[in-house]
Amino acid sequence: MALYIGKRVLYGFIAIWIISILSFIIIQLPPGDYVSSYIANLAAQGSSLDQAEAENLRIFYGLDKPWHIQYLKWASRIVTGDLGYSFEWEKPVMSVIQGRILTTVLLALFALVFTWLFAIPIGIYSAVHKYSIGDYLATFLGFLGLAIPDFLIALIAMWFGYSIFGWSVGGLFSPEFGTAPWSIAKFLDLMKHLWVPVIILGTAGMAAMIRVVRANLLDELSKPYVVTARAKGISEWKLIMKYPVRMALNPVISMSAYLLPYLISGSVIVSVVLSLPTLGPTLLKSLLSQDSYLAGGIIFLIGIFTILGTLISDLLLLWIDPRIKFEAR
Amino acid sequence: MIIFNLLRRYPIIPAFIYTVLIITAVFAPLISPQDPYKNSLRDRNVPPLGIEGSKSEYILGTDPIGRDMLSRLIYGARVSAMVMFFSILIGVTIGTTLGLISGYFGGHIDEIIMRFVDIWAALPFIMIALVVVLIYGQSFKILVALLALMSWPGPVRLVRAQTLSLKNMDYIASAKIYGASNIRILAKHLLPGTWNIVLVAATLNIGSIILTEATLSFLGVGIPPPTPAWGAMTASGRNYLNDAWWVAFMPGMCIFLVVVAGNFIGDWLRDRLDPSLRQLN
Repeated sequence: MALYIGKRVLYGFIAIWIISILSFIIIQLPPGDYVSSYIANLAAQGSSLDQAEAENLRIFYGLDKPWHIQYLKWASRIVTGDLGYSFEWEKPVMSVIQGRILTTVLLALFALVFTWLFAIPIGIYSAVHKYSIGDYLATFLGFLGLAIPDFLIALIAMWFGYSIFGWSVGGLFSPEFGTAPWSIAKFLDLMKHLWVPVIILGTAGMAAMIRVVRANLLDELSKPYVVTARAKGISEWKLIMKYPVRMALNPVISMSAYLLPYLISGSVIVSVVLSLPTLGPTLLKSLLSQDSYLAGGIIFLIGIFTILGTLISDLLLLWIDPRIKFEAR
Repeated sequence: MIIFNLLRRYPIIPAFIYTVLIITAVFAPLISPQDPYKNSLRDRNVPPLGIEGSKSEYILGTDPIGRDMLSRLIYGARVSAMVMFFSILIGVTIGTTLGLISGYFGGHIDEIIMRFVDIWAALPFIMIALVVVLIYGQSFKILVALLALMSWPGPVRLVRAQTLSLKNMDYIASAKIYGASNIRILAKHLLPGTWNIVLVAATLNIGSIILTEATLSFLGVGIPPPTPAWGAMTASGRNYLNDAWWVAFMPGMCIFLVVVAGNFIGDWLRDRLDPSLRQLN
């Protein structure tokens, strides 16, 4: 079992290494470098930079070295938690995105929990009451959530919030908490705003999860052990909850790992529409302005979140499904 | 009651939606009442017929720079249908080929292809699309290529499963005894057996392709303007939600209908053509 966990962690590290290379390629891909776009910016404003000064800037930022040396430099600094320097904001990448990491993670996690909280009970209900009106209704609502684009739900939420309740839906903090340090009051304020994007994000994954729970539970319910248990007279509630539901939840856990990158991608769109202070809008802006270290750093972080999510779901599976322990021996 | 049962058994409404989509896409220039690119600054945000302030020449109203909504929706259908057709064609071709190879040869090749499929499916796709478009610029070709790259893993899994069950059948064994080459067996004997699955895989992809295209267009990295794309049209109505809800709502509804209908048809085809994948028990 320790071997199994060790192997998973090792895979995780290999994946993080691959992601670091990918992020670095993304940093390098755009034609030109920061200095050339800086010069272009200056030219647009009417001033210019002579050749020697440009070369000095390149040396200052280390842009004159071959790419593998640049990668090694970048990678060795990452290990110490230094993601480089954002040219556009003129401060370290870490301090630009610090406040946004937590909100991004919270948004994705809450959306996942929201999906679980609703999809699992609805899926169980649908399977147990197969072909009832409730089952059809759940399938239908699931389809709606799947088919309406996230940005449209976000727009509808904004419209409803504004025209009916007079709220301005958008942002994650009330103005007075925007730059305030973290406190319980600020956290509560965050919770007040967070539920709108959480629902918007959560609805998309819900349909898929309802169907997975329903299909798996239906498979389990038709197995002989359920018939035996029923013949022995176990109460229906205990009968369903104790064995078939436990079996049916395995794929939910492994599916969550796949849902995580999807949620983080989705949060970019929702964040752009609702102007939330998450990593999404910053990433978009940094890509547009070729702020390469900022973009690469954010992509790298998002990659790490994804890997961590997969790792956690692997470990959860290990805990929930003893069969994996036997196989791992 | 008879009608209800028919509607439950066959995807009549979704099929109707797709017929309309394809007809409008093919005959867009003939159907559309106005030029979708012609703007008129005097007729900005004209509401659809039946709402106060509407004008008879704009059946569904106009957008914020005075272009006819209906004509733009019709041309938008054309764009969506083209994106859908080409990206599914490319994606499913790649997926089917890899699925056949993976299932037929098995072993290391299978292992490598399936690992790759797993990794690919776990990538945050919209982010990658954003990066690629910002680097290489917006164009129809790049969008189609991106969507094709997004959609191949699904077909690989489905086709591989089908190939696995076909390759142990007697007719494949006799083809081998006759000395047929691997390529011949794959193309002549296995591929025809997977057509059903390929069709299912293709229809199951429709929904996510349209959604992703709309999302990218919404973010401004999809179809380059001024070509009407539903996602971009929704985005253009973002700032007018309170005074001109139809600008965002109508293209949004189109996306929604096409995606829902696509999902229904895909599910129905799967249940019909491939009982082994049946989810509805």
